[in-house]
Amino acid sequence: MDSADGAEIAIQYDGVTKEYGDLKAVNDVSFDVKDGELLALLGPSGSGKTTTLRMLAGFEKPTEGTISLAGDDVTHVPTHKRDTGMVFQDYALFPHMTVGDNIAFGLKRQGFEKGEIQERIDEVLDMVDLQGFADRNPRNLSGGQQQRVATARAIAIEPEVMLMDEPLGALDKKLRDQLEVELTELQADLGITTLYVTHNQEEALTIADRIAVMNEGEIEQIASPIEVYEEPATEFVADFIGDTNFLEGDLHETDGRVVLDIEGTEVDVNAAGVPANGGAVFVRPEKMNAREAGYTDESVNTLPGTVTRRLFLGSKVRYFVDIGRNVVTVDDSNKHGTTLHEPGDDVVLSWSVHDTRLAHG
Amino acid sequence: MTRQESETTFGRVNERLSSVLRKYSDTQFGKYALIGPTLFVVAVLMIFPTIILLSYSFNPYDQGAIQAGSTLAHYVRAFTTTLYQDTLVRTIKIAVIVTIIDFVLGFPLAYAAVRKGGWMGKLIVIATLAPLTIDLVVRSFGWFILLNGTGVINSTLMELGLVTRGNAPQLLFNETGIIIGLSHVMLPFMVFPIINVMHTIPHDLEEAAQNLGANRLTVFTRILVPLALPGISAGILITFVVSLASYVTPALLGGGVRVIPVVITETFTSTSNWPFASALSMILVGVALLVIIAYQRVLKEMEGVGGV
Repeated sequence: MDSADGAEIAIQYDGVTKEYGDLKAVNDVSFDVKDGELLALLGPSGSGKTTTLRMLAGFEKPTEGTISLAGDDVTHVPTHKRDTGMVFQDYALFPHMTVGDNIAFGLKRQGFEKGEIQERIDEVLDMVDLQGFADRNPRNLSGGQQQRVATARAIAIEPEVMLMDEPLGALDKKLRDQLEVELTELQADLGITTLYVTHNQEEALTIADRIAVMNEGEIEQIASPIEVYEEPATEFVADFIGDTNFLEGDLHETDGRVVLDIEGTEVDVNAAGVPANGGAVFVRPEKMNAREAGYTDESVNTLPGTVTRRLFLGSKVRYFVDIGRNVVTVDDSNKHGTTLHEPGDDVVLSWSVHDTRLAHG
Repeated sequence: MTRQESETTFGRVNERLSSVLRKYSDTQFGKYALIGPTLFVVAVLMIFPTIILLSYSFNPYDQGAIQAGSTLAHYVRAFTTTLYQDTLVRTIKIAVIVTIIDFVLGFPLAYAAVRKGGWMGKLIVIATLAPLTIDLVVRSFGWFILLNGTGVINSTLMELGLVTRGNAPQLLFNETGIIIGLSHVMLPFMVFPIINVMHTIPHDLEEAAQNLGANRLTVFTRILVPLALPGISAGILITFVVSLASYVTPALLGGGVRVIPVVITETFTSTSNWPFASALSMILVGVALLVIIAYQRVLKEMEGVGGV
């Protein structure tokens, strides 16, 4: 099966719904993952991302809809006959087997010869940088090493797709950053299609080719990390990914311009029109600058306010500025020549019209 | 004393007591002091009577009376008389069959009780436990109603036309009756050790195995059995040994078909040949001990080899 741009589609969800009693854990979800792509399912807990992943592994049966793997409908295929390799959050290494036997488990099921299995074990341990660990007991390994063994076990069987359920969730920040890089390099080297579940937006932005942002069982937006951050489709996405200032005011259209009226000050919005169900106007903190009081510039949006708090964070300065209806966050970069404002100072916030976004409610 | 004061006082006493216990259990004397009461009960109620039986079993029995002296005649008689040979073999056979039946029935029950959870899991636990609250004799009479020639089971089979009065299976007063009754009695002893160990096996190990291409049978043999082995072996051992020594159920449901414990009881109560009855008891104890020792050997071997 081919997608519009010619790349093969490895995974396809079509109208997939999963109900537990009255609860719709996943609600009419449809998306494609291209061959070799890493798609992150991102969302808060209870958003249905793990259930979505588990349905592809075959651990859960969809109530409605179909799931296809490499063009074949696998909706009713039992788990052990699906060509997927899963990495679990707590790794799920078999505690009664050595690292080598854990990796051999899947290979034995595929009927490989003893010699081939040994070769493959060495090969995948080499890939995850754990040479010579075959005879170790997984219980005696560190969290990071266990994670690598789990990855090695999953790639050993050369699955059509990799499924990763918060694979780095149990690790500390430093190790997570390191393994993020290693995992994406390995994934790119092998060119293996990957569905990656995480609740960590930074992780998703770092590793994913595309991100599907999930909320209450539905996909809010599916797009590249940059698009999801810069042009979030909905208020939820704008709020969930990155820091966001929502501006409160009266949204209307005049002379073909979309304008937000904040207590008499008009702010131009980067939008084609006002959606029927309204919308939320927002600006990212790093897009705003806090200028001296009295600053004017007709080419950008400006808004007066008062500094209530200042956080000096080294590379940047974070201000909390009271603009009347609400308090916004402004991140000024700590470049040479920047004058610092004090709490109580009157300032003028300025930012470009382009960065004044409208998210659907 | 206010409520708070009394609570802190109690807390302090409690803390003090547990620290004393902790300190004690580290010393040689403390260890023995703590296990002392149990040791005492086991010694007085188990080991002491067994030693008395052991010594009886070597006493000659002549002209209806126990004589002084020492002889192996009772053991020779037990092992060379066809009746006793057959009874011993039957007793062991029944214990083996009951153990197998209970494992086959008990493992899925224990698995479902843990994995299904919720009300389903609780129902299984209660249904398995409930019979323990009813006296063995009462339970055996329950089986009478179900199993006898015109009982619930046979009359249902006849209603369905599967059997006729002439060829209805005899389910009572034979080995079948004993096996059915004992399997019911012993089931909780198989189920509960397995439930305990099943709680310690994360479900995602099964999912991981399935994901790597293992079907249900492979998941069972390669993942569940090796990891549940401590519970399974405890269940099997308890079921086997207790079945071997059980008296009430076989006595009531076996009719003329006897097992060793029934023969021992009859010999003790209806003859005065205590030495021979003691010898039979010692043989039963010997069989149980042999099984326990052999079993532990095998388990140790398996642990050494590892799960694969």
